Amino acid sequence: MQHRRQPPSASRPGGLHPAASLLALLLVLALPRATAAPAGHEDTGRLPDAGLPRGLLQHAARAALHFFNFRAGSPSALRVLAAVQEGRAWINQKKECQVDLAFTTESYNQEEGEERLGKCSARVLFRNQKPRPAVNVTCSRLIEKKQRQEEDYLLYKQMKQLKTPLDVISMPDSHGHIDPSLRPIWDLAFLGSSYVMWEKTTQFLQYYMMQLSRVKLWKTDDDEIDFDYTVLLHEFSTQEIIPCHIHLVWYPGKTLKVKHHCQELQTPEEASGAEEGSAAALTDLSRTSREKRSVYTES
Amino acid sequence: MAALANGRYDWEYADHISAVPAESMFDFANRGSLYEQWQEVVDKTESSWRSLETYNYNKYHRIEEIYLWMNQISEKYKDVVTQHFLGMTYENRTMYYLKISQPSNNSKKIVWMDCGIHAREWIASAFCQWFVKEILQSYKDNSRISRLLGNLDFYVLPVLNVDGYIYTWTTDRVWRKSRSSHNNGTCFGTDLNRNFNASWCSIGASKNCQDLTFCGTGPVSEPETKAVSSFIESKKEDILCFLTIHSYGQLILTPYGYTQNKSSNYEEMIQIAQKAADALKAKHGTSYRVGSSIDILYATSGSSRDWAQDIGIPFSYTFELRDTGKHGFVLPEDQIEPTCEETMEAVLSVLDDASPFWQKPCCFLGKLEEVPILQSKKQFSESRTSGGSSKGALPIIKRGRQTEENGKIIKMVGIQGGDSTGSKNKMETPLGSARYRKFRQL
Repeated sequence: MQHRRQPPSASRPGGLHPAASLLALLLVLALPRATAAPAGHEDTGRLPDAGLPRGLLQHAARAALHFFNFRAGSPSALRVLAAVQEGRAWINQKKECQVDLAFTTESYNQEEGEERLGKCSARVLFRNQKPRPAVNVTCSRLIEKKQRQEEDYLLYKQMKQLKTPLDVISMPDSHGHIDPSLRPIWDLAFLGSSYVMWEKTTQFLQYYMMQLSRVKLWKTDDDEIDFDYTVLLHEFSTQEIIPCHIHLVWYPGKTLKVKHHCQELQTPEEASGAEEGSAAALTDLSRTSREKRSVYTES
Repeated sequence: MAALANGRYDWEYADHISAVPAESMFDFANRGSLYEQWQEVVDKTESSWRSLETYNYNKYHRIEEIYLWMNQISEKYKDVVTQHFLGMTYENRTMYYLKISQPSNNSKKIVWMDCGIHAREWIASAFCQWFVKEILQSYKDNSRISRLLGNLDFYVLPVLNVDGYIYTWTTDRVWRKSRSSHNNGTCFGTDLNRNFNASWCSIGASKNCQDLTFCGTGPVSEPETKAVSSFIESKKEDILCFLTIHSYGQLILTPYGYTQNKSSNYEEMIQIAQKAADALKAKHGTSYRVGSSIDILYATSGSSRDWAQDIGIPFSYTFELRDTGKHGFVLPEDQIEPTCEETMEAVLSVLDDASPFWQKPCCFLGKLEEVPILQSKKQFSESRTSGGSSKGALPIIKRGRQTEENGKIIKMVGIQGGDSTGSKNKMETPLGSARYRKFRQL
């Protein structure tokens, strides 16, 4: 099997120059106070009231981060939203909702007292209630690439040390506990779930990873981690819990491969998909223009 | 089965080990098999405890433990605490609340707090227990809490949705609704927080039992809703604050969920809520957002908070506790303590800010006679696309306005409703209390 090395992190040719020009585009607005005005009031007039969901900026930031985390492909370097700093949103002629924003991030596994804030800027385009928002996100580098690779490899070794095939019923348990030795499993699951959560996100639907309800873990012949699990995603506006079956294959530094199959509770069809997690991989496959427009950059 | 009003449990019910009589724990010696069954429950629980001193507030507890805890609390603090029967759940379990009241000559305003209307929001019920513990352990030597208890009565319902809560322990950790049976036993559960009589099922709720926001077969169709409604209704003139505790999201929500319009005291409510969020953040740095439910969360109808505001309770808030999605409903136990500590600060802040209203007569916002209710989602979305706050064009409940003179609020006009003649004149609730006016100037 060919090993495909992930290209060194760099902007795509012709991609947006990170941070500076994007920020120049953004209006510097005072963020709404915590006594929040409706989402519509964050821009001075470009924003129609109707139809825009609440907390749109946070929502867009999270969508951008799901995409970023998936593309970075690094379970030891996952990021979560800290705070949105500025942003604006508008509906374009095609009835798409475009959000430009800047936000800070924290490490997913932030230790007590650790204060490492990353900075990201993103443009997120929600396609009129269709999922898979087009994301163009740039984040400042938090740790050196070499260190990140080392931490990934450490995580990989921890997983290899687990007795496989590993069979876990529920993670965390009902009381929110995850055994520290099993923590890498959670992180890897979050990485795979990030793809699925991005894939399902619309301007109205946002997802959170709640619990793993079934975990099967084993190693392939190439020493890759072959990871099969069911994740319960919580969709906020409907409050529904969506079970998704995810199958991923991972090796530090290698392209993450994800397949998923979610139970769609609203419609009779079930949604599934497959993906490979690197910018290079996407350009090679013939996909919809929406995906070609999605860019992940780490500066 | 009937739970007896004095807090004892019916013996046949105890067979199901869903609830255990309290005093019986001490005279169990001769009870034989019942004692053994109780012993089993105690042995199985992770935090095996016998007395209140060893009750672990940093862990989540099964309903049996919570019932026992309530009994022990009302026993140990019998000077100020009594346990009361509220009603029965769909599956015939008892709902109990604790009344914390310092005996005094004057009758006091009431603070109502309920937790766990949604079964999976375990941190909420943990907070209710924490709150009770804090009040009772501190009221004698903490001047702030002593002052509160001297002026207010607390009614705390630690688990509203008992059936659902049990279900999250036995079967499905992420269950939300009640456990009522529908469609010939093919579908279960009503979202109790869509079942109250506040623009019932007009928006943000579903008529389909399969959905998690199923509003029930009619307003107040569920016994749990009925139990809370009847009780609150019977005490409404005396209730100052209605607090309903949820998770997750880190929000303090004011009414409404079913309309963009704001209550007549919206400005105060927001100020108070913002101060509470600031007090909360000062504790451990946790950020909460503040706003009306429809503005910062999503549209909902039939919520208990909106209903409480509509029947005239002046300060009606929803708290959505930690976190913001990293753990969601399955919040790790090591976060119970910091969550409860910071939330405590927020609640105390709200109660302190409501102090101008502690004395009677107060600010009861008036009774709604005629409440025009949105007929359909279509009307609602039409009202929104037409530019938001269209005045008078649509049958949305109008909130009152204040009349100002020299910067002082002269009068607050109450909720629009019919008077006995059925006309739509606004009811006026003059502000008799100078203390209230002073508060307004802050």
